[in-house]
Amino acid sequence: MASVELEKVRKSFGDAHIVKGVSLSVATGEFLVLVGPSGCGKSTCLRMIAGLEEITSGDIRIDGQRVNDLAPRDRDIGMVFQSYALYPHMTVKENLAFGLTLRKVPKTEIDARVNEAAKMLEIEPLLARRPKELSGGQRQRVAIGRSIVRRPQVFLFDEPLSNLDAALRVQMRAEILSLHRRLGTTMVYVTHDQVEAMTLATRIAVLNEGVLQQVGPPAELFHHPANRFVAGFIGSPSMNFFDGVVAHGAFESNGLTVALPVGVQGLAEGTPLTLGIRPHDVTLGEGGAMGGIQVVESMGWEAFLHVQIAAGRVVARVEGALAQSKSGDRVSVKIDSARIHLFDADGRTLVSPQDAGERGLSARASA
Amino acid sequence: MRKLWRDAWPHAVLVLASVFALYPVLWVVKIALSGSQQLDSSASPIPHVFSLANFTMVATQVDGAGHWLFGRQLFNSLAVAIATTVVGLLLACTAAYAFSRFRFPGREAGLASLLLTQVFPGIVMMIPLYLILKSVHLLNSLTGLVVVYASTSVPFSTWMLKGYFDTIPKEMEESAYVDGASRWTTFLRVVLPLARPALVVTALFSFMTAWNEFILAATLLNDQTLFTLPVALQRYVGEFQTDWGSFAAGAIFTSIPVMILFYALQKHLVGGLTAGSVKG
Amino acid sequence: MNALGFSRARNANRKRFLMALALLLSVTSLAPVANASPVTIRLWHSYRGGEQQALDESVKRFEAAHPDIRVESLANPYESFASKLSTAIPNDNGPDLFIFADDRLGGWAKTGIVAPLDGKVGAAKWASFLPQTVKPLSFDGHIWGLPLAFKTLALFYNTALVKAPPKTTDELVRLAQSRTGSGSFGLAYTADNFFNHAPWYLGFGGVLFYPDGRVGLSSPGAIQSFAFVQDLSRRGILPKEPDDATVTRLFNQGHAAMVIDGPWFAAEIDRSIHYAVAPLPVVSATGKPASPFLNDEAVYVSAKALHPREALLLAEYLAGTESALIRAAVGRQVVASKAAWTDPRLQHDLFLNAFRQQAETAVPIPKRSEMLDVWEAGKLALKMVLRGSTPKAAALAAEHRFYAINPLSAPAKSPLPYLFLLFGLALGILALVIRWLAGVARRGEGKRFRLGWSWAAPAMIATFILIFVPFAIGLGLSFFRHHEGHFIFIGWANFGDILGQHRFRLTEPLSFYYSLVVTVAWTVVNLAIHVTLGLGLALLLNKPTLKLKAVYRVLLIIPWAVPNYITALLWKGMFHEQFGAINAMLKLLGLHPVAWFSSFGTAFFADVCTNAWLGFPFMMVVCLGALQSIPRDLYEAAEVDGAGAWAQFRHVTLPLLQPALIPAVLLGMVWTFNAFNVIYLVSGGAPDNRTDILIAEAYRWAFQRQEQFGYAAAYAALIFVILLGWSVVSQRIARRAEAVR
Ligand SMILES: Nc1ncnc2c1ncn2[C@@H]1O[C@H](COP(=O)(O)OP(=O)(O)O)[C@@H](O)[C@H]1O
Ligand SMILES: [Mg+2]
Repeated sequence: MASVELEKVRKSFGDAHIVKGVSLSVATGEFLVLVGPSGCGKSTCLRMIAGLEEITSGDIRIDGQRVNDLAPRDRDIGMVFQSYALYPHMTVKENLAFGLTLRKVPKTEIDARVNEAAKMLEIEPLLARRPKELSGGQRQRVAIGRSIVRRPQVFLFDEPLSNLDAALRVQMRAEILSLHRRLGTTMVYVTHDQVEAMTLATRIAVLNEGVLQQVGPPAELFHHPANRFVAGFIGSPSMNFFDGVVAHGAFESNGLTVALPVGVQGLAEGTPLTLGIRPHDVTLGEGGAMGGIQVVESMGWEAFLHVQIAAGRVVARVEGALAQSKSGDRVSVKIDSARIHLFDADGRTLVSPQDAGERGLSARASA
Repeated sequence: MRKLWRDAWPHAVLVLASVFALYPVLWVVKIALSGSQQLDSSASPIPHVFSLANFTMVATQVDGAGHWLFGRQLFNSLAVAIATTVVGLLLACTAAYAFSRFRFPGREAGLASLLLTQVFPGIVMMIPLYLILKSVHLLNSLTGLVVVYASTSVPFSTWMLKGYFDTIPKEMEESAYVDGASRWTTFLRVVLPLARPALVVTALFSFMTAWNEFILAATLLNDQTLFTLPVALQRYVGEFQTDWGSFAAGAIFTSIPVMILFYALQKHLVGGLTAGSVKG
Repeated sequence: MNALGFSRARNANRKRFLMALALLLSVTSLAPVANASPVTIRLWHSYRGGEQQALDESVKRFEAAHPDIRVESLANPYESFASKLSTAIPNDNGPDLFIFADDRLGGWAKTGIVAPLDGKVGAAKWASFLPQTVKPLSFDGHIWGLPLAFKTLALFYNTALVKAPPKTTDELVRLAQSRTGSGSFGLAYTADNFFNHAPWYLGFGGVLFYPDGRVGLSSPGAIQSFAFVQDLSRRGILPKEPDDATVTRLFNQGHAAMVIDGPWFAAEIDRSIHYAVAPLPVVSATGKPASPFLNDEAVYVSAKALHPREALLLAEYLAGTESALIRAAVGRQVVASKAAWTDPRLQHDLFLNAFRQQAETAVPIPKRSEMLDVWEAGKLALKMVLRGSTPKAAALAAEHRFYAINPLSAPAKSPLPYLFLLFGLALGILALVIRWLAGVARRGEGKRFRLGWSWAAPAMIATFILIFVPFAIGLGLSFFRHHEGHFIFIGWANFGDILGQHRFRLTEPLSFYYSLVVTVAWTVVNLAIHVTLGLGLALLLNKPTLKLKAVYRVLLIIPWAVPNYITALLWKGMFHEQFGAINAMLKLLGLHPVAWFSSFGTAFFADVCTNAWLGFPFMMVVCLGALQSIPRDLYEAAEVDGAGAWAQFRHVTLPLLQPALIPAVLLGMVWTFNAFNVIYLVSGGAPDNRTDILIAEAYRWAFQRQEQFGYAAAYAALIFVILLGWSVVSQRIARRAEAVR
């Protein structure tokens, strides 16, 4: 078990600068999820940690030791690939044992460890099969098993669940979590799916366009996003945003006026701002901005209503009778200034709602 | 009726094509079995004489010193073809791997230069090759032949293998690196096993090139006991007179090993030629 | 002796190294082992059949008499024998002694391939041969070989049909005419071969070379001789387009009363035929005897012989009486030894005596290298008159052809300016490479450079040394002309001559442009056929419901597994006019047999058929592989979209085949463009080099027309440039296809 540290790590492919100075430290035993939209450089970061990609500049340390020039095999890591990358010409057992045979581990011990891993992942009956005779979920287990038999210091996962169907994904998520709990090994897990990030992580690191946006526990990212990008990326459905300005001491956007919360009341008239509010904080009721319902995403008891108001489109989460609304109905949307986030013109967070109650988070997690 | 026709016409075409493919071969067999040296002026490819005289004559030739020529020549051909295949493939597969996986300065130029060799008209190389082999004392030797055959097979083999390596997912190798394999181990234990169809086809091509070549071999070799089969076969075909019977028997002997290889490997042939993808 | 021993030791050392290398390559290198005794001497010849038996018998007796000498004899195919000798001997890779006719002696004496024997062999020995066999072996004031036997043409006649052989050509024509009709011919011989025509040519007073060196192919006597042959053909006395096999068959069936041929013909004659041999008749028009060429077979000692003493010993034995008697008895050869002729067995041998008598009027083949071109030119004239051209026109065409294939006499140039240019070019390239390497180092790509090249280097070095270097040297030869073993620098003259068309008309088969058009047609037609056949069959075989699929596939792949020179010779046999299976089939269908190699169209067709047969399985397999990789659901999607079978093929199959098919087609084009084997072996360029593609022409310039290596190299250079241009274009096409993917 070991810590992983990235210090001002950069990566360029020719003139394309993909990772632009990422500094990040992962504590021993931590489950860190690196999340961000596709193409933002997550895999590249992970591959640099694994040693599969050269580092353009900066340092990477594993267990305090600088590993920039170490080959992957000397870094003592395990990695699970999105495509599983099982060796098609070997049986499951051979796949699992491959790393140990290379390290010249005695045969009896190999068998013991392979069996142990197979039992842990419940793939014992599959040991004699070849990868092409396995289902997606089984392949996934073998891929994980392959890295755990070696008992590496650090596990790296690159979107391991994205090829699975939804139900299996939920199940595997839980298994990976329990695995982490059992092994206690440091894990760095890459995904583009923020739900996965929220459910798995001890801490989440959000990456966008090669720049680290925010690192912190899931709840912190949800309630106190550092900037507009994180605010929009974390949470489902996404936060609603309205661009506007400060007018008459309030936020004003095309007919939508919201009082400025405490702490930012001193803003100068005309300052451009962005207002953000999560769907579950939007309420319907008299006296708000009027708009027509465009789409109803109903889940029975609750529903997300997409309402077009003059300032833009708003998604609101409603429950009970309101969830029976029809598209075309006209409703009044209310935005409570205590529940809003405000961002400056550069996207930095000026203010977030004060209470960080558990309610919102658990609602998100079950989504 | 129409349905019958719809099912039957592909067979009609295929049977016709098979006859086209088979007819000349049967004809050779017929001449070889005829026991005479003459062509037979009938159209039927069905032998009406069954004599093994031509086969025994070709196969039992002995030189002045009592060496069993046919046996030696068969051995020479096999040795040259196998050595060519092994050496050529060893050279080609490492180069192909480099061209497929590594991005290094000179890669494009190297690849283009290999392609370029395919348009070289071979005949101008004859005399210079002769001089080069002379300078390393490999003129009248099978080693010299192997050296030349193996190098000339390299460009094509490299391109074939590179094409196939390109289709092997890179993650398979990366996974091996992480598992603790060196580049070389990965190459040997992951890449080569995965590229087996392409290796088989490429090996077959190299083998055939070496097995069939006779112009260079006839120029370089001066010793009947060193001849390869095609060089020996060439003797039956004269400008003014051809010993068709011996030629046919020799041709059958020469073709059989290649045929056997083909049928043993034909399963791979289809997939190996057109780089298929390896699925994990 | 000492010095020799020393160099042996060094050689042995090097050999040991090579042995190690050989072991490494898992091939046993059977290099001759240096061994003090017995001495092994190498004897090369091109005898077959009885002649070879006779030689082997002589050699065995010689070995028995000389236990310290071992003879290793090698029988070479006649066609490549001369060029093998002239390559091997100067490179110390040749035999100690060899047997060949006298016609190449001039060149070999000048280039130091044979050693003069007159100083080493006593006068008594020289006197022991028939004088007319010694004379052709002198050149430049020396005698170069010991005569073994000679060959001339003579008149074979079927004694059942001809009572007394004709004494004059008038008699011959009269007699022959009376034996002609209803499938029988009065006279049969391969009339389009200049060697066979020579008796008439010389008998009519045709000149081979004027004293000033000009060729006499259009001399009055030559034209008369062509007219004479045309007359024979017009009268129907001669069969149409006879080849050796036809002549043999006609004579053996009693359908040819007379045949002009050499002593070797005896071996072909059926036991049932009673025949006799007589000297050729006197030409009535001139009163001169018809004079065949004398082909004087001699044994020569190589100028580079390792064991000249032992070689001479063997040569003298072979030329001696004992050996001559074996040759006469077993090989049925007309021997040169006088003493042998006093043996009663030879004295009463009517057959051999007829040839000996014929030798009195026979003429040695002129010992000038240009004579090699007369064979080709003379053949052209004969083919033309037999096809109906006027003798005059044919003679002029032959003379034209003679000069056209004569080596270029471009003046030697100083290579200095070119050397400077080359040197500058080399420097420039070196500078560029250094700059590039420096750039690599500067950009910090050194590590990747080392990694990549450490894997690629072995293959690239092998390719460089054994493909690029020989090719570059080969191309360099295009600036030289080869003359009597020497290369003379002539700058761009070869290219100027080839491209400038000074010597041939554009539409002549020897013109570069003519051959280029044929080559392009050849390439396009072949590829079209390969792709059509290959794709068509693959589509059928790819039908999921098809039964017997595996069987068809195995059968259809057969042609690929047959070595292609075998294929070529096989098809040549199948297209044989008399005995070929194709004509037999035509006859079954009630059609007329076709003389496949007498016109361009049919000869080209024969070549294309052969190449189609050997090439379609490759395309089929490529297409099959590509078809199998097309996902089935694409067809289902297309079907849902309402696409019929044709639309599916057009919009799904074809576009998805492209990535596999285009590279195969492009590579196939390059290969077909240079597919020398098929053309050379099947049609052999017939008729008149009309079906020769560029590479075959290059081969002929190099190996059949006085070894014009420089000129051939220039041809190859031009082929290279054309293909290079084409590959640049095709790369674009391929890349566009890639983009589609
Ligand atoms: N070897 C490479 N050469 C050039 N560009 C690359 C290479 N690998 C990745 N990239 C680019 O880097 C960017 C980030 O890739 P990646 O790290 O795989 O993104 P993701 O966050 O989706 O995992 C992408 O735009 C990709 O095109
Ligand atoms: Mg990724």
